Amino acid sequence: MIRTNVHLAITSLKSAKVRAGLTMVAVIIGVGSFVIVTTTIDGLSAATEDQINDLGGNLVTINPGKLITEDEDGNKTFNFAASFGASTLTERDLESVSKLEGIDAIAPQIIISGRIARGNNELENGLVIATNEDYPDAFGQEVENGTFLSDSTNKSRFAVVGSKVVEDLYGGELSLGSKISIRGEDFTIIGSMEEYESDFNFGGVDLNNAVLISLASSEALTGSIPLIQEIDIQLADDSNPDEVVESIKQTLLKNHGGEEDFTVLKQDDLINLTDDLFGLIKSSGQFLSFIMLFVASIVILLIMLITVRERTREIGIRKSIGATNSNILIQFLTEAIVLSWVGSAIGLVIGYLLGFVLQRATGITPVYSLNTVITVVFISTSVGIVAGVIPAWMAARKDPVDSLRHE
Amino acid sequence: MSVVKLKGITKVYGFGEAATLALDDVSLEIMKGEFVAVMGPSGSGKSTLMNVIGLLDHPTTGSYELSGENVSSFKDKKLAHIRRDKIGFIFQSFNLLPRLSAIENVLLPLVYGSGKVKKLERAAELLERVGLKERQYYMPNQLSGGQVQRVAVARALVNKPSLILADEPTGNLDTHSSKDVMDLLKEINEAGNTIIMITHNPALADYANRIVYMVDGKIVSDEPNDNSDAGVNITKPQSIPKPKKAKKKKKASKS
Repeated sequence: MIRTNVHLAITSLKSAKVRAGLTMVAVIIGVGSFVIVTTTIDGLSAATEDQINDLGGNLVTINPGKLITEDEDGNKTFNFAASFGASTLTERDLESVSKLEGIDAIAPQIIISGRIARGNNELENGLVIATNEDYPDAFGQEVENGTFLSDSTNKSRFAVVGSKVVEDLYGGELSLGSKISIRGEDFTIIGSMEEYESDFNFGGVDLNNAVLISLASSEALTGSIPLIQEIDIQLADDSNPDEVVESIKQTLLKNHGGEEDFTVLKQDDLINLTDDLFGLIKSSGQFLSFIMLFVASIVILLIMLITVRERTREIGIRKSIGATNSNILIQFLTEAIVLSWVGSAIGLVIGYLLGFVLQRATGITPVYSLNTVITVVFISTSVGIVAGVIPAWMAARKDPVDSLRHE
Repeated sequence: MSVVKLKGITKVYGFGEAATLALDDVSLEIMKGEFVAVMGPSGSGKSTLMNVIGLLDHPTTGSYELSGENVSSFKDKKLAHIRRDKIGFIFQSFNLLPRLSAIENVLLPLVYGSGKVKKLERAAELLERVGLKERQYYMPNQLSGGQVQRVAVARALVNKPSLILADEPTGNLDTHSSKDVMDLLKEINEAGNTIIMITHNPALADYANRIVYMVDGKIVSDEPNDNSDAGVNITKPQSIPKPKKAKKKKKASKS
């Protein structure tokens, strides 16, 4: 009986191809956008997690601002706005934390904006980061060529460059001692970093495109003591991350007069945080897709109402030869569901193909999961039922005598 | 054995001032194997009577026994099942589904059944019987009017009904096709099927062995058709045995 009904539905949809096709457009767009949003954001989230894991297993970061609030039940909420405040982290914090036990390496990150160039060649999307000698250890990144900055208090204008800088400004062949201009001041390149492996960068921070200088020289460059945007810490292998994080917190609280205007995060926290953040973005994207799918339901509903009206005579004929009300109900409901299924299948394929296009354009590898497909099947069946039930019920209730008279 | 037994059937449409009495105390008994023609002017209640007998419409009052079963109080679902199993309809406007082929149309009543009949074979057999074996897979718009109506006859027969209702079966056909279809109906009747047919055409009524006249919702005459072999314009049917159980039901007749 189900097979007969599905067959019947396909036959009647085929007989009105243009109408069925146009009706499906809304479903196709809804499901397509749902697939794109889900797979791309999952891909983005996976790439970010990879990047965090690349930093080594024992990374702890300190950021200014109280980014996370925890309620009584232990639920953490991410307060994104707090990250826009002026930094309260100082060199004093850096110093006192570095004295704690269980810390292998501790490096500040101070991002300085300004033009980076070699002669007239400007580096696009370049980034100047002032840091200290612990930077390679804190990030688990090695010096490939030459040496790293030896002392953060050294005011000499030395610079270490990322692999992409070597490629873009020096054609891949860097001779140590070459000059690079930062904010119009010449710096001497004393080393280059190995390529940092990540096909994607979060928030535009591409460490391969960075020029690293010492804290002291940055002070001379900008004329003031720059604010620290982030402190990155590599924990000792034998340390207990929770204990060290707690002692870092206590130290900073003391420095800041008891004010918790900073956030200390372990690697796990970072991953949870990105999960939360991407989860939020994904839900908003999916919510929009659901609105589109709701509109799609309404479109199918309207077309089905017209169809039922047009096929009144068919309903009369079917009833006269023995179709029950539920036979008719199921017939039209199946038709709406099949319409939604076919549209969803097309939307799924289109979403999948667009994922490839997007991957080419942005480097984000979409993550296709069985869950997405199951959700689409579930959604499309619901759309069909929501759209079909009222018209089908109206069809089932039609009076056979009136229906047979209908022209 | 009576197939149809109506007692005091009335049918009122509308309410109050606008109420119309479409059937006025109609009683009628039709025996197995009869071929009854129902005649009368437009608005005389013929179609309403057919709809009531065909279980497409509920009478307002009165009782109705179909093959000995009192169906007056049955609900829609049960009525649909009886239509499926016991009644075959033939309509003036054919009423095939245009998107289905001839054989699919014939199959349709069986699709709604659950019995384990060899459905396709049964449908093919009936198309052969109405002379359309070669056209099983034609769509209705590829067939002539007469052929379409023969498909409809096959559809009406597919469920082996105890009653066939034909509402002006030749109303949309030319004389030649009309003769074909009427001969077919006669043949089916002679094979033992009970047929009730509405018609305007006295020539067609002559195929029947009993003629019921209706006026204003009442049966005004109900006679065996002694003239049934006269075959006016259309055809000269073979000699038909006169109704064996000539039932003189003249109680409603005033003429």
